[in-house]
Amino acid sequence: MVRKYILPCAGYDRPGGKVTRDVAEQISKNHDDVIIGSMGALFSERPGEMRDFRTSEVYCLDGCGTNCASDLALARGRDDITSLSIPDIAGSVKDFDEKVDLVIEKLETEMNKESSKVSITAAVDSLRAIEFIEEKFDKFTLKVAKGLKYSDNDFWVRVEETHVRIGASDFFQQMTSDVYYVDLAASGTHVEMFDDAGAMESTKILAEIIVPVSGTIVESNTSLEDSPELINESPYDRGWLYLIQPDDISELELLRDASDYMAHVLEKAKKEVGKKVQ
Amino acid sequence: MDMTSTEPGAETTFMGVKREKIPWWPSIDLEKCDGCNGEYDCLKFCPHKVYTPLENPQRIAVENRYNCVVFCQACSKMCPKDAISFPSKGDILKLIKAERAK
Repeated sequence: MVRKYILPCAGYDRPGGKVTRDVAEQISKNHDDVIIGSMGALFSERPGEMRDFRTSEVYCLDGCGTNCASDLALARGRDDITSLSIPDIAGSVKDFDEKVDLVIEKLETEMNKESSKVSITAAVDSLRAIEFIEEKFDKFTLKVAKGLKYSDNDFWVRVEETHVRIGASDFFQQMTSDVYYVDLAASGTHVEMFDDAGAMESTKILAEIIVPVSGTIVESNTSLEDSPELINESPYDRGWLYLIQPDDISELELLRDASDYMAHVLEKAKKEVGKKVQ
Repeated sequence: MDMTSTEPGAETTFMGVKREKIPWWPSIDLEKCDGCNGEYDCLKFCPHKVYTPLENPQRIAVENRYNCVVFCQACSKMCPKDAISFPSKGDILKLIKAERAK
């Protein structure tokens, strides 16, 4: 389910400032899928805030004509927001509660519109229903997505009709720690199984992307250029690396299935923890 | 207990094949390697303790070959002298497939 991120205006002294906050509060009481955004946290790009912001539908409630909320959302990389101007919607009404009700009504209409529109792309684009196998080890919680194939270099493959999508596993991102730069190969590049194609740089290491299948790259996840943290935040979904037209799908038989891979990473994790103790 | 090798990493497996059966690790061209004048870029780069530095003359050497990540050749790209090479990926993959079929 795609959540709704409502960003109220931060201006306490603005004509519509309090209206926007009351609207956000009331809406979030009546809807489980609503998050109230924070202008401050969005401005300082707090990681949790940025995750909510990037993965949700964004509704900006602008309390006055400077449209700070919408402007900040745009500056933080979303060009698909819905903006609601309080002066436009409720400027002609005097009573405060009446203003709030008018904006809520408008916002709910917009939210219903978006839901029907977004549900199509959501299936393709983000927040798939992914089931995990989870194991705890030492201070780690290891997550392996079910239904994917895994290479021993810690990359996954998901078959999507005629194509395969690849990415790095949760274990890979935990070992690499915070990725701050991703360098991807261009579409059209042909790769052999276990070739390296691109790399990522983290606070700990530079890691090569070792592709787990042979084929031609038809799309690379360009959103990683601006948001390399998706590798860490959403390794099995929004942090995908390449969409590939495979040469020979039977190659996937060489890879591990999820439960087999979990056993493999548990072994590796033990070794890693052992190293640190030395 | 299998005591065939005591080298680090030898007992791990890669794609279900014992690591010590897979001849994947860097080869150093000692004509080209100059130890980066004591900087040893490859040594600094590799987090798997594959390399060890040599003194007089300054060169790099492979110490823990089975610690090398199969199919990773990132260190060779760090080498300013292009002195590091790896086996052919295709050959290694063939060998792994053959071992798995056993």
